[in-house]
Amino acid sequence: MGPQHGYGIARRIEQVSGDLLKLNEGTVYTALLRLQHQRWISTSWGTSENNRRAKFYAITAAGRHQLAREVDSWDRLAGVITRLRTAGGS
Amino acid sequence: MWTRLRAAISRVAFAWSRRRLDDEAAREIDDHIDLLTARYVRQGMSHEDARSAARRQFGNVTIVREEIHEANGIGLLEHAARDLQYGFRQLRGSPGFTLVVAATLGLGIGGTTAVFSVVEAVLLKPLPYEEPGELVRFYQQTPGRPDTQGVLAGTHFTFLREHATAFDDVAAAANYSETGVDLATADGRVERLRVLRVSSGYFSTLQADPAPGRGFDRDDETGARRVVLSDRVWRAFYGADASVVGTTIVLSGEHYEVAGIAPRGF
Repeated sequence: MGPQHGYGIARRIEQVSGDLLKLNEGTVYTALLRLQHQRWISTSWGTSENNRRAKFYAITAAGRHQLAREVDSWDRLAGVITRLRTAGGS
Repeated sequence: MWTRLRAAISRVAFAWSRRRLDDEAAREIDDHIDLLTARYVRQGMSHEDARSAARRQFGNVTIVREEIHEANGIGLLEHAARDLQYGFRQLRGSPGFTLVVAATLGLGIGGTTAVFSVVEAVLLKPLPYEEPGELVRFYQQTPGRPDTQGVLAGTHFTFLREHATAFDDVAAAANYSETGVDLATADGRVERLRVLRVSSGYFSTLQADPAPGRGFDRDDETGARRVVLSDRVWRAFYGADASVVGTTIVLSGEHYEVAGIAPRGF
């Protein structure tokens, strides 16, 4: 979905998660900063939909790599949980 | 580990442009709330309601800004610097107390340093001789009084010299009679010098053989009047002239032959 500014990212999270995930949208910015410190995302300046200069965040190659690792680890964990749930019955 | 290190490096880098980053974050936050407000207004809310709803959804602006500010810095160092600043301000505020503390610290450190200097010179630093660990000193002990350290009589010295075969060399120094003599210099001045009367083998025992010239040998113990000049005296009064060795100088009105010059610093 390309580079996004903070507001756009918050909207995307809202849209994808439905109403299940309600977060204080301010935490998006602290999270983005932590990702910047890891060089997993980069920033550039662009124009937002209300025609203001805004910071746009884009994932870097290192970020993609890290994302793949995290997704992998999450899937493995989720898989294990699912197996345990199935084995234990309900 | 690597993640933390990378974050730390990045924080240092970001700390340089911290004010700009703080301003940018503030603007981002404002824009974000404005956009949210606009969205709620579009959904039919009053501007006021929309604004408070947007604020609720964003969360505590102050905390977010504070967290961003903290994350873009080298927290610990900055806190230390601030503490230091605060400390200085406090000290300046009460000069009397500061003076007392500084004096106490100064005296404490100074005293310790002084004592250590003495201990270092007396106990820790090796003697300025070759192989100081192999040097021993004989004392005479009064029977039943292990704390006494009397000087040896001359006969004891000759006995030791003949029989103490464990040592390379044995020499005596008349330590208790270290006295001064008057040296008449060539230009008619008289200088007071310190002398130490020593036996033959004194310089060889300490492995500090005079050069030029030589130390004393057994033949000199027959009453010959010979001296070894210190390097300092040699330079000060004889211009470091090697030909002084073998000549006769006058010490307290008596003639002595210069046998040699002691090594520098001896």
